[in-house]
Parts: sequence; C-alpha cells; structure tokens
Amino acid sequence: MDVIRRPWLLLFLIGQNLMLQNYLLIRRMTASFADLETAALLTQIAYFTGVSLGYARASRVTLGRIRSLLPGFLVLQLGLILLGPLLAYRLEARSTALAYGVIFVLTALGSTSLYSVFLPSLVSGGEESMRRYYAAEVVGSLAGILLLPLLLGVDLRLVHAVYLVSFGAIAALLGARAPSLVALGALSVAFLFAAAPADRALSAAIYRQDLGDGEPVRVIHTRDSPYHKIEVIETARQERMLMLDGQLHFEPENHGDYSYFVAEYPARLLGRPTTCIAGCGSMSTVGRIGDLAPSITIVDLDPDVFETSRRFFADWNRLGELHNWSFQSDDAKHFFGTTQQRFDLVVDDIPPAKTRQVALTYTREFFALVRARLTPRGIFSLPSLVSVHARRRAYGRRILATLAAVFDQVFVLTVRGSSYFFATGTELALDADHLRAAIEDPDRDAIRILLPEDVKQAIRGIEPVTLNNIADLIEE
Amino acid sequence: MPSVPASARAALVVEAVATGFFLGLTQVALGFALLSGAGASALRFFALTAAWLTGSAFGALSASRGGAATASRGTGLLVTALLGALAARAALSLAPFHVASSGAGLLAGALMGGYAGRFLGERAPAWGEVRALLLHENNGFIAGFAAASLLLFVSARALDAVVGGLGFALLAARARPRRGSR
Repeated sequence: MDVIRRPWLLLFLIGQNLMLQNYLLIRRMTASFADLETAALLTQIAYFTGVSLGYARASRVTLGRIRSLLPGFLVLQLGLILLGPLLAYRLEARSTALAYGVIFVLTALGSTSLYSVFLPSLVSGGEESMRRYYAAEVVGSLAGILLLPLLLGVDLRLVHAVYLVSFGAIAALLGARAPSLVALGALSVAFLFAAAPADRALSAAIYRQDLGDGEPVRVIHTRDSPYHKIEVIETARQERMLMLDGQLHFEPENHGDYSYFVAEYPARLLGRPTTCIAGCGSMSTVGRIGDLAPSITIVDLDPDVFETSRRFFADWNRLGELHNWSFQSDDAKHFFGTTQQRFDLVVDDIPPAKTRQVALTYTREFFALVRARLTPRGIFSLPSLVSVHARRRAYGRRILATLAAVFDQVFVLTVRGSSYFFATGTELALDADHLRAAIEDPDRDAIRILLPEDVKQAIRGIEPVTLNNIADLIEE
Repeated sequence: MPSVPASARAALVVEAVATGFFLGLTQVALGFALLSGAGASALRFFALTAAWLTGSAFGALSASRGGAATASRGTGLLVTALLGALAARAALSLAPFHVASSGAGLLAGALMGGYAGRFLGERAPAWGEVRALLLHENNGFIAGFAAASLLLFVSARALDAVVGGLGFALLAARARPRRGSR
C-alpha cells in the first residue's frame, strides 16, 4: 500500500469508528427484526466477518482503490442504518432467512471491511510496528467506547455526527481530493438532517401495515436510548401505542384485563400494600393502583422509557396527579439483589422472555431475590400471556414450576387465555371462594382458579427455570 | 510467513485460530456472567469492553519488552487471565450484585484482553506476515463468538466448561517446546 500520512492518527480514528459503527449497527438491526437476540448475534458476527474480509483483501487493495471506494462505502453504511429496517421488513415478509442473509452480507461487506485493510498493510514494516499500530487502533476503539455513553446521553445524532466527522478525517488522511471530500461532507450533512424525519416516515409505513390495519399511523415520538429504540405512535383513532425496538409494548384496548389482574386484584387482596413495580412500559399498572397503595416504587433499567411514558401515557399512568411513587433507574435483578426495602406487593411488569437478558428475570434465582424483599404476607404478582392450560406450549407452566420452587404457595387465575400468578409465603391464607369473590369481572364465575394443591398437579414433571436452562423458556 | 516447516506453519495457524476461538468464547462467557451476576446496565457492558481494550493495548505494547522471557511472560499472563476468569465467575455466582464481584468481572476482561494483545504482539515475529495472523485469529474469534452464543442455549455451565477446558489446552500447548518459531 502507498505511503499514508499520520498512520497513528488514521488507525486511532479507524478504531474509534469501528466501535461507534458496531453500536449503531447492532442497535439498528435489533430494532429491525422481530427476534432481537438473533439479530444482535448475526450483526455482531457479520461485523467481525467484515473485519476478516478486510484482512483477507489487504494485500491486494491499493490506496487509490480505497479512495475511489470511500463514497460508495459511506452510501452503503448510511443506507444500511437508514433503510435497514424497511429492507428487513420487506424481506422478512418473503423469508426470514433471506432477510437475515441479505442484511448479513451487506453488513459484512459495507461496514468493517473498509477499515480492517489498513492495520495489516501498515504493519508489514516489522514486528515493532505491529505492536504500536495495533495499540493505536485499540486505543481508538477505547476512545469510541468511552465516547458512546457521553454522546448517547445527549442524542443518538451526536454519535452519527462524530462518526461522520471521523469518516471525513479518515478520507483526508488517505489523500482524498477536495471534490471527493466535499461530496462526503454534503452526504454527511444531508444524512444528519434527513435521518430523523426519514426514520419516522419509514417506521410509520411499517407500523401502518402491522398495527394500523392499513390506516395511517403517526410516529409522534422517537428516542434512541442505550437499551431501546423507543417510539410512540398514534393511530387514526387517536390511540397511542408504545413501541420498544419495533415491538408493541402497550396498546389501550388490550390493557384493561392485564393491569387489573396483575396489579389491582392483588392490591385489593392485600388492602393498602407498599408496592414495587418491576419494569415500567406505559406504567398503566401505576395508574391502576395509584389510589390503593401508600407507596409505589417503579424500577426500570431504561430511564428514557420512563420519561417517554410519563409524557405520552399520562392518562394511563397518572404520574402527574399521583404523589406516592418514586422511580429507580436500575436493573430489576440488581435492585432486588441490593435494596434493603421490603414490599407487600411486587408486580412483575417485565415483557415476556424472548431474550436471555429478559429471561434472567424468570429464573429461580431471580424469584428468590424477589421473595427475600417481600413482607411475610407479601405477594409476587406475575402474568403469563401463555395460559398454564395451553396444550402446545409449556411456557406458562415453566414459569409456574419456577415460582412453586421458590414460594410456599402459588395461586393462578386464568382469564381469557392469559394466566396470572400470585406467589406468597405461608402467612397469607386464601381459598377459592375468597379468591373468586374478590374478582371484579363480568366473567367471574368462568375464571379458572388453581390453588397450591392444583399447582402441584399442573407442574408435575416440569423443570424450574434456572440460570443454566433459560434458553428452554425462550424456546417454549 | 518466514521460512518455517509446513508442520510448524500448521501449528501456528491452529494456535491462532484456537486462541481466537478461546477469546470469542471467553468474551461471551464473561459478558453473560456479568449480565446475570451484576445486572444488565449498558454502562457495565461499555466498561467490560473498555477493560478488554485497555488490557489489549497494554498487552500488545508490553510484548516487545520481554526479550527472551517474552514467551514465559505470555504463559504467565494466560495463567493469570484464566485464574482471573475463574475468580470472576465464582464471585459473580457466590456474591452477585456486589461491587467487588463486578470489579472482578472487569478485571478478568482486562486480563483476557491483555492476553489477546500479548498473543498478537508475541506471535508476530514467527508469522512474519502479520495479515495472516490477524486473519486466522479473527476467524477463530468469530467461530468462538458464534459457538458461545449457541452453547448458552444449552447451558451457561457448558460454556464455562468449554472456556476452562480450551484455556488449559492452550496453556499446555504453550508449555510445549515450539518448533520453527524464532
């Protein structure tokens, strides 16, 4: 390869951009596919495959060729970030494997392969240069990872901006001519201004098909936190929905049963319970029991979800009118593992276990942490959208078996295809008549109730979920 | 690559791929141990990556200062990294959500990253053409990362067992006299 000016700086900027790009691609792809975990894994593998592609081609690529390819690479990278979700959506409609395959190839070719040709080319001068150049690239990556939380704390657009400025600097160090640099600069500025509105338009087009039954929907809020792409959409009927990484987390019409049975019902069984709600979403459960509980501690990893819901779902969570709540930005496992507080009622408002990260909150280990923070008469309330009576899927029964392995008593109400679990110690005495009488529902007499002795029958032969077999739950 | 017998060249390739594979496995195993034993905070994930990278930079730079003792120092670093990973796994299991346990996880990440950098810096002379070393090590890393993700679908213990087994196999391989390396 020809002589490169300031190779240390070049490798530093490459290392930094590799790290920023890794984050941007993974966040983008997890928001594009229904299966978050597979998307994250394949994007990560595609990213490193791109690195190998660059290493493999390093000896055959000239500096002039790289200079000529720079605009093409930038277009591909920005296109992948901007249009990735639409491409994934269109392809997934035909075949999920095709969608993953196309995104994998585009990611591997268009992302890291450009950057990884330089290190092996520059270090051909000797072993000492290998150590120093390698360290320069790694220090650049370190700068990238340290910058990320700072930039994300302000706005994702800052991550884009730093990436694009570095890309321009890399092009300049590689000797790109003025017209090429101007073109790269214009493309970058256009992206920075157009990315947010274009993203909203693309999301609206996708959600119109999936959630609007063909009627237009508006994306009225978007926020990219370190954990989620958070969107609030509004339908033509003025109904608001909360989307996290492209997945529906709250829609008004299906929430009545849920918030009643998971939160209000156990709260009324207990009287005036001090309450902790793990996982926030729209926080409709807070609004539901705000007048029944003397204190409500809301725990969620992502403060941006909390702020979004506070602002856009105030009619449901009533945080503006209630004054008995507090918010803890924490991982639920860490919170229950470290808090000294005890609660009469813990409501599990965490989404279903579709990833290992979430599935960790459905394990025997997590339930034991919750139990340790309950008062002697306390109840742990947890829903399952898959009924314990479902024949084909054991998901609900796996959770029930896990609760039964930790708590002395578990009661189950099955209502319109969903099961609600109420786990407690020995001090709370409840029988079927008491449980049924407390239900406020027109179908009260049709609701199936399992008492602790029925639970033993229902979970016979079913293994509890532990840290070592959480994948079983995801696959159920 | 310098003129080395075909068998020695094959041994270098196998070692690079196996080391990359081991590092891919270890990165996922440490990430999962921190996720389950310390929590899912993004800052902690960034900190693990930063620790790994810092170790990597120091590992690569320090490889040049060892002289004749470079190989034994590399072996010592691998032993320390393996013990560090073992200690972190034990701490995160036995004392979850404790600050010291998180610290042990991050330290293990730094040590493993240190070994990754040290390995590349240390092996570069034997390879001559560094591109091939980087390529084989990275291909091994990809395979290890993918294998670790699949192993987690079996059980976390299975992943830990493979990490430990492969780590000690690499250690045994390092302890054997090397042919063809300078």
